[in-house]
Amino acid sequence: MTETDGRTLAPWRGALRVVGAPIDRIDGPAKVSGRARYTTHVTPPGLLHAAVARSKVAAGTVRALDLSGAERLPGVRAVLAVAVPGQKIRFAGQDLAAVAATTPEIARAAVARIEVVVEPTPHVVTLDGAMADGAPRVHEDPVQARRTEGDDPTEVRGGGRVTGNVRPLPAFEHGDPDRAFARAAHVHEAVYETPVVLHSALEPHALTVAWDGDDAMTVWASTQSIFSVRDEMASIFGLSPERVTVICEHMGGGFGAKFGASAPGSRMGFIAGTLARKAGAPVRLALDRRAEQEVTGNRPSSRQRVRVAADGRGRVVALEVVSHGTAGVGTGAGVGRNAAHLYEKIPHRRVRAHDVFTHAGPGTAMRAPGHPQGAFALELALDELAAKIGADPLDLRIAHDRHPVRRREYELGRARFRWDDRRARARAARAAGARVRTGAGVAASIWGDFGRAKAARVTVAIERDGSVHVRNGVQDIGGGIATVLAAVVAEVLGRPVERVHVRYGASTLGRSVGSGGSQTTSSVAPAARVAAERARRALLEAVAEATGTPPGAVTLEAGGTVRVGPRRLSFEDACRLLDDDGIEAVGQRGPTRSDAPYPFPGGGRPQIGGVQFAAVEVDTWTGEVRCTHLTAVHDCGRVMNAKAAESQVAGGIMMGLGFALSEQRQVDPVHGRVLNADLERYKLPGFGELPEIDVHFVPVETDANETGSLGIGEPATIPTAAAVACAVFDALGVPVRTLPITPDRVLAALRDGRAEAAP
Amino acid sequence: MPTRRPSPRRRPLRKPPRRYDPAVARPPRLSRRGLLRTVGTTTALAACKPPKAHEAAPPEDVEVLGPEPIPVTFLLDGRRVRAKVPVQRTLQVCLQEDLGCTAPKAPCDRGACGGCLVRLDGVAVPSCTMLAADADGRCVDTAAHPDPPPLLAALRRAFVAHDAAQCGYCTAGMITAAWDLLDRAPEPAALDEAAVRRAMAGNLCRCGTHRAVVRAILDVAGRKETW
Repeated sequence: MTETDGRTLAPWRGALRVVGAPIDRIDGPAKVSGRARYTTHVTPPGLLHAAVARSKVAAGTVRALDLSGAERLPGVRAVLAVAVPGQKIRFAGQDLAAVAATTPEIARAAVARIEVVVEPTPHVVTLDGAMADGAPRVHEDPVQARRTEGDDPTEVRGGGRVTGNVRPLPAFEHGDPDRAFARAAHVHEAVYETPVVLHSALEPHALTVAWDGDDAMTVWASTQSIFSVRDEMASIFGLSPERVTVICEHMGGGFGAKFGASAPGSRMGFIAGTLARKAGAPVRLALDRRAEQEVTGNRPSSRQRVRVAADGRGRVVALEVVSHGTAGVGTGAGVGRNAAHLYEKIPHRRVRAHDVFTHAGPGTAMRAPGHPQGAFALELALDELAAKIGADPLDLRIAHDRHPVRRREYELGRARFRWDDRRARARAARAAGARVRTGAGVAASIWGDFGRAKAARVTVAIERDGSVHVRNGVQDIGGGIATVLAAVVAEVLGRPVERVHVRYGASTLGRSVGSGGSQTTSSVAPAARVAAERARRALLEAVAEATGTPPGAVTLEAGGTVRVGPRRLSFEDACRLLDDDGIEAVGQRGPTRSDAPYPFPGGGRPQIGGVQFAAVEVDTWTGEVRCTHLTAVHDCGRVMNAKAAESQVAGGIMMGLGFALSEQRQVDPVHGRVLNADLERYKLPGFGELPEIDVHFVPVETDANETGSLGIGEPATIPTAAAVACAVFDALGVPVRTLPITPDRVLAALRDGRAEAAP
Repeated sequence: MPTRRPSPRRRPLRKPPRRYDPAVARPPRLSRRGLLRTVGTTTALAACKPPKAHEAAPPEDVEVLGPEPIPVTFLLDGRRVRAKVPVQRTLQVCLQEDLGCTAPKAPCDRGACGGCLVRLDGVAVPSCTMLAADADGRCVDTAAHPDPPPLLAALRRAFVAHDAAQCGYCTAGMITAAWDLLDRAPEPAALDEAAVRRAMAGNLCRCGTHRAVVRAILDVAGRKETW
């Protein structure tokens, strides 16, 4: 077969019938009617409910555990010590012990009866505290970086030697920044800070384990990666992976925190599996909101010292970012690719990032790890430099960007957003000293196509009744991959989307990828196209054979009609000619074949661009900031479903607005506990914060894979907070260099700005 | 026997909604077992009192329920359901665990996010901060209604058409809030975007479906002839 590895499939060109149209999600009806089943809705017979006793102190040593109170409680079926005497506690919320009981109420009551003596030791939860001389050491031993499918797979691994609590991450250097700074005409230098923010998926982590004998189990998990759950459970319990069946019918959001069977700060897979084995019954472990916010991962903080320099002709010549951030006890407080690779025409660039360990729950990948932090500091610093040298921020960006698509996006955005008008109005309001100011800002995203060859195995079946079925073990985390599968197959077979039945969300349905790195669509959709093309060919061959027509004389028309010589058969009639087995074809994606339109750093894969323009309104008396308008211009190769792609961008913007204006984890330095581990004091953006959002895609035809689709989930959230911060700077004339941009910070910035201007 | 008297909680919290449809959600008819279901308040008060108050006899006119599981009966989406629940069980847990109703979820579990909304006697309330016992004899309606009234059906269609559900975890709560809003608004077509946003402000979503949700609701509000 010619398209064995998809290599010879002709790329799609021009508009298609189904793919790229605005398509209703196939899981929409189940979700809007509340019928969709999530992990906690699965109730195998005899199900027990687990609860976990967690450390209330941030640092210490476990001295003793007494589980007898829990064991004696009627309804408790299994009790498990997770910590052992002598074990170190490194963050509040760490697993100590767990129970399984007949009801969730009894499980909680049992946990309250578990007595654990932890001898507290000094803890440190702030960046300054952890970097101070003589600070308590969080890790005594070398630290292994934890990586998930949510991390950028091309990122250089490893880190330098740990000094105190500080661990350098691999550095980036291009040119000779020191020399360039020494000779530059204008230098801007400032410190930018971003807080720890929390994924806050509305569905907390949940896992149900049912053993089937000693060597097999079924696991229902709320996960972004069914197969990483399977592999981790197999490895924890010494099972062969094919004896572990993992099911995730629907899941309530992950954003990077739901890879593997365990949460980043809780051994959920081990706990649920062990309790289920001990009790001889299925066990569900669903975290409560406090644990979800405290131990299941977060976006690390950053404190970035940015230096940026321009020569006498307004060209930016040097850029340096030195960053320290904390991922708590975890690693990965980098600042992404922005400073290193976004403005490649800046000849001298250096990025040095460091993990600073603190006694707090571990950070993990969160929607474009490192990038939103890096974008904020870089873009605001560029705007401050632009103000110094009298340059227009948009022109400055276009002048230093090599990516042809992104340059086009800047120009499109300039018109759609009415950049020049908005900037002029902001200038006028500033000059007039108006109470309510407006401002406009722009920022960009850089991301790569991490779609992988042969990572997904998609099966397409055509039955004699004319029904079409697609199977793959991928999970739909809300991005809409199930609908994309239906659309791609419908396109190839000339069927309406609603006539294609998709089964997904189980490890038994064929190998698939984790939903991280914005790689799902570009890994799975091409495999679906290959499988569908094979099924189509097999159908036509079968029809030719059954009708005694030469194979070349049978064709499938766009509407699904099968043309047999001069005759035309409906799709259903053609399928009746199949034998009882129907047709089944399997497809895999070929290797990435092109880095067009522009390569990602390191080469071999396309770079995904995207720019966002933000308009804000700032009340200079109260310090309140409102984002009123957001224009987003993005590219993601060929859009598979216009509705879902637009939703991804609108969603990325909302998450970015939270990062810009309201979200921050608060840890009490005295007790070392998260003070806002809930959804009323941790401020997610909501309907009140919704701006007018204008989403526009720049279509890009890339031959990178069989569908030409690239990712969009992460690029969509990278520039938002940066653009908002730049807009606030435009409105006020003074920068707010710390996120979130809360009223107190706006007022402080105005005060400081006046103080600076006074002398 | 404790003295029986009508509990203030048995009265509807507000006047029945304007478009109250008795075929869908009949007012409570289960008053034969008109016991005082005050377990919620007694438990809560007991928890606040100093330890010795625990042992004090309850006031004479209050029937104490528990600690053993108690029976509750109510109308769920127009159908009479029964469950035997632990006294401290919330309505959300009862719906999910005892009755297999998957619509109200408990994302925050403290009434802050709207993911657990149900309509209790026609008014939207968070089911995660209400005891199952307090639903006894009342009408509970959820987004999962098997025979959806026309307005609920229209909202479902609009949410799909506007792609207002991504992961879908907040969606049933969103739809319940929207259902409550449009059902009780004197003039749904007069609702503007600001009013819809204000009404929906208690519902959180992390995928960022807000724009689509507002569009879906305005779409339905403006086409009353479709429901």
